[in-house]
Amino acid sequence: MTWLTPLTGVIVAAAILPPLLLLYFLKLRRTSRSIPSTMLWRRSVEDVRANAPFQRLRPSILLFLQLLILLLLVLALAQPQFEGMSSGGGRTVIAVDNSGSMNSTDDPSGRSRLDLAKEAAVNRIEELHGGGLFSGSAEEIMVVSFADGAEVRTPFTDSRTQAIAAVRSIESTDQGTSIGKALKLARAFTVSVDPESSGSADAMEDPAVFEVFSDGRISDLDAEPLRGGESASYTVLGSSEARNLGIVTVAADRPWDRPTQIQVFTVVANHGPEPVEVDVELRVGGRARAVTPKPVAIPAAVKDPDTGIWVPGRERVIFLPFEQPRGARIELRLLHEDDLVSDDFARLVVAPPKQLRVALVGDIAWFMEKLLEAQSFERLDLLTADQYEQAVESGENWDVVVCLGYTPEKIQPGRYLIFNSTRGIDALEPYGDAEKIFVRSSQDEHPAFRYVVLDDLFIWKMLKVVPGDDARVLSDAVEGPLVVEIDRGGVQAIWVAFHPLDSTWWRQRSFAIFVPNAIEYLASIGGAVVEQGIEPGEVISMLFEPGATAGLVTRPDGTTSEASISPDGLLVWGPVQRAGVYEVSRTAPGGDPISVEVAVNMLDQDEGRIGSRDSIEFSVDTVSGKRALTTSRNAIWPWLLSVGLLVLMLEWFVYFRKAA
Amino acid sequence: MSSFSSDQPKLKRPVRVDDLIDSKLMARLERLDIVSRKIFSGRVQGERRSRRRGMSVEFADYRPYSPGDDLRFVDWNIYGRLDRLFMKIFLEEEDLSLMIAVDTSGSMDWGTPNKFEYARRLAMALGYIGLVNHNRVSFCSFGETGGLQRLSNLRGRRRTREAGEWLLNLQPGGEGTFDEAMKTVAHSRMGRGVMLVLSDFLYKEGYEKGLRAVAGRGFDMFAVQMLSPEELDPGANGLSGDVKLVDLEDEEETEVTVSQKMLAGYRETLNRHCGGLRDYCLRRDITHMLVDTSTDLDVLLMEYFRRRGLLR
Repeated sequence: MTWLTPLTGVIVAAAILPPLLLLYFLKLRRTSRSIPSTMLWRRSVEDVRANAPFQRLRPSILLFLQLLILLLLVLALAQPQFEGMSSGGGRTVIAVDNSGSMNSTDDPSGRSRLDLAKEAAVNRIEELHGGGLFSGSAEEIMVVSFADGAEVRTPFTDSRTQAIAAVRSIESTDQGTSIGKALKLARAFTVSVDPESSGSADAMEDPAVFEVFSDGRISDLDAEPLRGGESASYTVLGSSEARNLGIVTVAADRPWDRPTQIQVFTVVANHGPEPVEVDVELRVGGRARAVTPKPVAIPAAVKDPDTGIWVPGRERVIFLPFEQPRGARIELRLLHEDDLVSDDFARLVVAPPKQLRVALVGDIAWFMEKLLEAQSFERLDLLTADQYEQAVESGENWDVVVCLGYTPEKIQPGRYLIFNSTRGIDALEPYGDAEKIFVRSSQDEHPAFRYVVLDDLFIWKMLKVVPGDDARVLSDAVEGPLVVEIDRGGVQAIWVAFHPLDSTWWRQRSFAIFVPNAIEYLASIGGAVVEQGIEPGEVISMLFEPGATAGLVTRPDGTTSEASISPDGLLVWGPVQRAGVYEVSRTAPGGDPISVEVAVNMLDQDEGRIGSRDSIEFSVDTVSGKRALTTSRNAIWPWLLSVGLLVLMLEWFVYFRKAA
Repeated sequence: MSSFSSDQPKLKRPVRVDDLIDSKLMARLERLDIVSRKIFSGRVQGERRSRRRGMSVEFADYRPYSPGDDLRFVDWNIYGRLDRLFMKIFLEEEDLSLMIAVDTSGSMDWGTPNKFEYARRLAMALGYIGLVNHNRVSFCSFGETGGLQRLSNLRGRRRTREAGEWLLNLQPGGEGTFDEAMKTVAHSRMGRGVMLVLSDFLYKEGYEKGLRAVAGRGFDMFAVQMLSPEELDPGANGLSGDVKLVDLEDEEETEVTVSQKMLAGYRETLNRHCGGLRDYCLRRDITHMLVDTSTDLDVLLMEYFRRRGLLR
């Protein structure tokens, strides 16, 4: 038991107890009664005592009851509570982790780590505020939640109610964990302008105490050292020995030669120290379609002897292609119970098979024509620059446009594979040419570079560019970017810095793989072939028809949220909080509402490793964790006050019985 | 409602003589008479024996003749045998003087039943007995209000209304002046006889001087001490808690916490006070009678006073 305001109780007792006893020592306020003569009364010994200025303290039920009331009042004012901690000092930032791993239910009570973290944070706020009615100066508390991003739930406030409401408003997510943004946000609020300073630029920092409520699975701790004056505490949630299996990769594809079939791939990771066997179920449209013929054996996680990091055991699962000529919602489920449910499921939304409409614009090189004709496109248009521009003006559109040595002056929103042209591309800034180039590196994991080997590629001549913020370099040379992915203003493009004929690439097998990969990847961005799904923390970005309106996003739990659509048809909504299937609907110009489903999967391997850490390291500062309070503190002053009122009523009754 | 209650109802006082004594009680009282333990000389020849030898038929003694004696009372038979003159002496029958002194001090105007009203009714009843038996009845009141008031020498049934109206006009209040009143009575030569003092004898200056003043004057004294039930047993009559007692006469305040121990102490003090009065009266040949005002007046007269020898 702790006493939140013991000093208050002592002061009140010291102030009230002596006067109460003094009142009993002094003369009582007596009821006046007329009698024939006081002669006989005065002669009694009792009267002599009663008339003395001070009388002996005699046993009195009223005195006893009043002392009892006073005792209860003083105890109530001292606010005894169970399971308390000492109060902190200064400004405090309560940082609550609401990432995916905090949804683990490894606590014996069955409650999630986030629920326990919120309860512990509320208790801490009450402690910092003294927890009661008559506490002293209030702490300034800021509440921040962090997952992939960070959100200020309330800036520094001395309102206990506001801080507690802010903590309770924190909702669970399936996102990853990054504390860097939370620290940046908190530091932004701890910098205050010195009113004594003449310059507005002069600022002084008022460092705060960071109190982190987390399981310690934070990816960017190494990059976030504490600054001078800052201090941190860490409240550990969850068990360090929690077990979890999770789906870390999922993909579905339609084989190019059998577009009515769907093939599903997945990888299951085991984060526990023991090997596990698990059945994986495939459901299509809500119905079980297949289960692995025998349990999949997932090896145990092993500890890397060099880094000391536990590497989860992984096992790949492939379901054979099955006939699904229409679109489908595919769900994978691990038939296994563990402490984190969110990563036991993975969902995919596969669109109906659709053959692409592709245009080749600019140089109609024979090798490119032959390569594209070999693909099973619905339509392939070979257009000169003028023909293409006329077709665009007439409203013609394609799924992917391959531009060879040409780009229009103003590129319309759409998907493009561009070779050797920078005209109209705002995301690139050209600054000359380069000659005799070898490839330095490329991102092999990008879908466009799958099975593409550029080791033998030699380029005689290329365009030198500086990529902008909306451009991502997929392959580069010493002289500059070779292949860049552009995503800007509704334009998604893969840009190649050279003409294939200016290199040895056009005659290499990797070119014949790269071009279909790139076209398929570009087409898949809009959901034309296969929806790969996104992860929590990412945004839903969809390109609809220009003029589409009334964007609406329906979450997996059925709640909806409006999403704005730009005039050119781009809808951006997010970041997404929870895993599941989201339905994005819009109203086409002059048409009915059309909806598209988007699968969101928690595939973060770091979040799947849910064993909590006993300490966290802010770069060089190690903060040892303390266990969260799992039992809420019970304030017993209301009970004391209630009993005091009952005793007061009894005292009132006794008094009137005596006075009557 | 107890007299200790702070909201005591207003007392309804008698306004007619019939309120003091009703006809039924009068009929019962006519059979009673005042008894004196002493033989007094009256002013007129009454129905009482007197120490004064006189003209009654009851022979008392002889004495030698002295010049000037009434020759009608010379015993001529003795003279015939002894040749000496002796005078026959007879016991003379005289009327009885009855003095009823009523205390009208403030302390009497209290209690349930009210002590003052009880005293007035008792005085009226005793006075009526005296009047119907042709005694010489006098009343006096002593208290601060009006000082010593007297109504003297009433005789005969016809003076009953006069006595009643005098009693009705008495007003209680103020501090008692028992000593002064008794001295005045003692020096007023109002005649010797039976004297009844109706009072509560709660005098802070004491009752001794007053009683001493009248005790040696030949009165057959009866000190009737009248106390209300609330005075006799305050605990049983609603006095409790922490109270401030205010004296009705001098408004002196006494703060008391009523407890069983304190009530026992009060009873002891009261007993000591009453016992002291009784002993004092006994030493001076005064009959002390303690009367509880809750006692029915009929019972008091017919039984208690007769048993104590005041009435027969």
